Amino acid sequence: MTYTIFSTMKKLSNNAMRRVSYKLSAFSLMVGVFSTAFALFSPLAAAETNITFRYHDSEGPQMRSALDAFEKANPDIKVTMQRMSWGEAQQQYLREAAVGSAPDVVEIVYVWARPFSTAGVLRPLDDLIAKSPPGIKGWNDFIAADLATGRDNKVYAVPYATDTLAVLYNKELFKAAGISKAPSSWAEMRETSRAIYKKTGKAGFGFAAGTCGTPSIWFYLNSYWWSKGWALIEDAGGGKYRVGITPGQIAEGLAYYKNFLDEGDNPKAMMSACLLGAPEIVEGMVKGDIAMVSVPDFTALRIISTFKERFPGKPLPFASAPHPADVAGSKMHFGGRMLGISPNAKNPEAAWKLIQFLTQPEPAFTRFLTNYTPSQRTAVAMRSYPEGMSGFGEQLKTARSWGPYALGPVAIPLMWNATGRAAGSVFIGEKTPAQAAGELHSLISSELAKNQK
Amino acid sequence: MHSPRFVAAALTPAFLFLSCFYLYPILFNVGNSLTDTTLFQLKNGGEFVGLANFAELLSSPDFFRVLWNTVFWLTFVGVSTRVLLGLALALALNSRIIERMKVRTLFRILILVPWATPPIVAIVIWRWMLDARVGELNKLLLALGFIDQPIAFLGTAAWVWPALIVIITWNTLPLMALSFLASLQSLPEELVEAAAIDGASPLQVVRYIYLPHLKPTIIVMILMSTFWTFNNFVYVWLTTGAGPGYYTNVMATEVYIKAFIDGRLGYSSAVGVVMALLMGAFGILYMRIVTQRSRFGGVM
Amino acid sequence: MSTSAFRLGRSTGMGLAGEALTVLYVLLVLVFFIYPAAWIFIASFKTPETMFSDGPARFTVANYVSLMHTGFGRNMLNSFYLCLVSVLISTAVSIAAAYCFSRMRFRGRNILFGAVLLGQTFPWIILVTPLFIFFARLGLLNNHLSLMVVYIAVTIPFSVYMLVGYLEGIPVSLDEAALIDGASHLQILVLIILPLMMPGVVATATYSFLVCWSEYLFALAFLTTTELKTMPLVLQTFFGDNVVEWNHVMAASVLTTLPTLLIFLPVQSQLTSGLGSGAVK
Repeated sequence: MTYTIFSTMKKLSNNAMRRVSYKLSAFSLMVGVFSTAFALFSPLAAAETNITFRYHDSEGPQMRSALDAFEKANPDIKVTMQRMSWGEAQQQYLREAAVGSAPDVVEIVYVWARPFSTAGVLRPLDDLIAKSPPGIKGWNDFIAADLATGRDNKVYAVPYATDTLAVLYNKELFKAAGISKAPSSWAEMRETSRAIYKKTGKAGFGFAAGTCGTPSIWFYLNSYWWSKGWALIEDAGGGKYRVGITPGQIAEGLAYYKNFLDEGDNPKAMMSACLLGAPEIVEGMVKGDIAMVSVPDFTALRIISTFKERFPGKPLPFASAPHPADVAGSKMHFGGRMLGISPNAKNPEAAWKLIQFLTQPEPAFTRFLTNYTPSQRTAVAMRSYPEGMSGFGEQLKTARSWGPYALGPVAIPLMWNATGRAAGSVFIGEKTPAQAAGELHSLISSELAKNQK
Repeated sequence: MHSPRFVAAALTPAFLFLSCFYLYPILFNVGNSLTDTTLFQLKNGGEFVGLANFAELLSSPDFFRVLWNTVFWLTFVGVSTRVLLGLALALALNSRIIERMKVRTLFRILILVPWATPPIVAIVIWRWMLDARVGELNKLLLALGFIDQPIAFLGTAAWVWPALIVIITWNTLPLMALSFLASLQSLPEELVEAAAIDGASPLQVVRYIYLPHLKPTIIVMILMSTFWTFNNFVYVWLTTGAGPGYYTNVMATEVYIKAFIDGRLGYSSAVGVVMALLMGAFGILYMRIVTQRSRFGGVM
Repeated sequence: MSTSAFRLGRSTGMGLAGEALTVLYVLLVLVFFIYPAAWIFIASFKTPETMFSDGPARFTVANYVSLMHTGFGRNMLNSFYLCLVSVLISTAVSIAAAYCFSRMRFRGRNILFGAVLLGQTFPWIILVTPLFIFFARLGLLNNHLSLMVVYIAVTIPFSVYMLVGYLEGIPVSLDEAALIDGASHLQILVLIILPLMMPGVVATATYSFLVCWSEYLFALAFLTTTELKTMPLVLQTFFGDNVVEWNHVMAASVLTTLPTLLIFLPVQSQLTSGLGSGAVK
């Protein structure tokens, strides 16, 4: 049988081989042409200047409109916007900067400026600031300018937007439980949450209790600790830092939040939510399933606008208040975003023009990025808070910067991740608050000792 | 057959791609594992620390838990679930009743649906299904009266691993089942008719005729599945983030956390090297046991 | 050679109860498989507000329209192009290599074969950073070529393994007869062996396609320009930190799954016979 197959094939083989080899060469030529074409695709030589801007927030379309306005005002500059989520942003940028292919302008968070500058992945900006200062009232008006400097006291990033977290609550659910005002102490918050759950069956204080790389429980725990005058890292003077909290105090915070889950007024379903603006939180508030959440102002604005879209004509049930206070007052971090230029940027002047544009309230914030506040004192003072958002203005008055956390020798991502994991192991019942607190404390202490020479 | 020129020509492209892809990264990682390189100091490299990373890994208090999660839960439970369910499904699909209902082809197509779904989509779907308040699974269990309170599957210690296994199984069982089914379909009829005439029970037929015929396929699938599962990162990371806490941390997620959150590239390379050594050892051992009885001395 | 297989059935005394159980099991598995996929398919046609609620649903195609406006069509094309080319090259290369390992005797055969397999033992996440550096130095970041090389390299090991298994089932006598007739190895491979191993090739190519199609880690590191991104990447970016664009997520999920399914359908019979013989006696 094989013989007949082969002899038939042999007769056709010469033609077949020729056809096959023609097809093969045609195909490989096609592949070659395609790949070369695509290889040449990316950096197109253009008559104008091309800069890349890496933007990580959720307002992609709005930022694109802002960039279009910038391009109209600067016809010789084109901006390509690259999008990525915050979770991958840091590693991607560091990798790229190491090989010299980072984007020209990058959006970072406040606390990355110092470590990035130490790593040499941001271009110093003093010369550009001197030539054409950014912002409404110049460099000194910028909030968190201290976080933007490197160890060598040069400026490495420009604070761009600032935000803080406040408690957004549902007045109607409060009324249904017979509560008239927002809680002003931690004990009151616990009581309010419990009462609302008992009386209405809805969640009291709903917070994301899940685990991921950047869990929101980090913000809530720090708010608790800071209000009592404790902190994971504090300034010890003389350029040195120390751990400003005991294991017992860490455990107190962990136990406090665990209690919400144990008694059910923060539903167990929240163990699947992790980030600040998690859909469970936004949806829960919009639908009236949660009474209180702790969110950044842009998330609160999103909740309010979604509510208005979905229930047009219904009166807004939301109000906001600062976080509960203790001996050191009501504490929450004020955070924000900064803009930096990478060391491999071919056209720093064009990049700087973009940064200047984005640090002017008009038109970037007033027309496009309306959910955000420029990181300048004048802009913050001018900001009028829409209905329901007054609590954020109040919180900003007592908010504190990350300060020693960002400037100290222990990296925030490490502490953030470890704190979230400690909380997660307590929430799931794997470890007691004391155990988890002890481990977290010794991890931070040993990191501090290792890095602080 | 011998033909050195042909062999050289035929093997070169494959090894060109493989060395391009594996050589530099393997050297990079092995070298890196002996340093304390960080993500922040990537350009400058790190200092040589010898085997300190390995010592730290093997003596860390969490190492045993991570290893156990990876070896027992992720790989052992995962692979055996798939193999057993896959065998059962293949045997069921192969049975006469299904043939008589004339639905085998339809069922074969339907089975492909979960396999065609990319992992990220599968995770989106299942995180929703398993949700404690609005998830379909809880609704079903409540309706059937099995439970009276919804279960937060991904947030409860007792349920989180089974939930992960369910998700991975959903996405990968079709491959197993179809492989076994196809192998069953090449079994000659005479063998089994003879057994039936001899009065064999279904169980005996399965044990003495089907399983031996399926053995080569089972062997291949176990090996491939083990390699792939042991090294897998995406499912655990996107479903639970290796949490709650570090509860579902496996070796691949440990690599990710240490490399990209703590920024310790040197240490995470060491973890990766340990993973490769473990799988390499497993592979060699496995092949040795398996090829003892192979007809094709050596390669397979 | 009889290809109709024996079945467990009445003739082996399985009985009515046994058959009922079998059907029940198959139906349970099918519900388990299909229900979640059907849910997301239906949800993709609902408005975001009614997607997750129990109440009456409002149906719309707006999700898909909005998705296309984000340029998703471009990303679909990227995925298609990338996967198709990678799989074609990878399968061709693997066929040649598998033929050598299966048919030829040469020094170091076992070692080389082991080397091919041992590549599978490394977790991909530790390969990302060095490959990133490697391709960056070659100037191939944000370039589909680098991703193609990665996908080809990643699919070669198991393709070779599966194809060797399949080749073991094709008798060497065919080759030997052709050799006697004076055929070259290339002719034997392409003209005789290849048609016979088609099911195996189809199975291998399909599996490779699936791997490329859903690959996410390398694409994430290598492609930062939106126009170049592949589908799984864009899907992941819809999960923002502050808002999940559920309308886009649902529509994109369906569009990411459908093509693979459509490719599976016409080849599924070849696929199953190929898979089974992947390690034939």
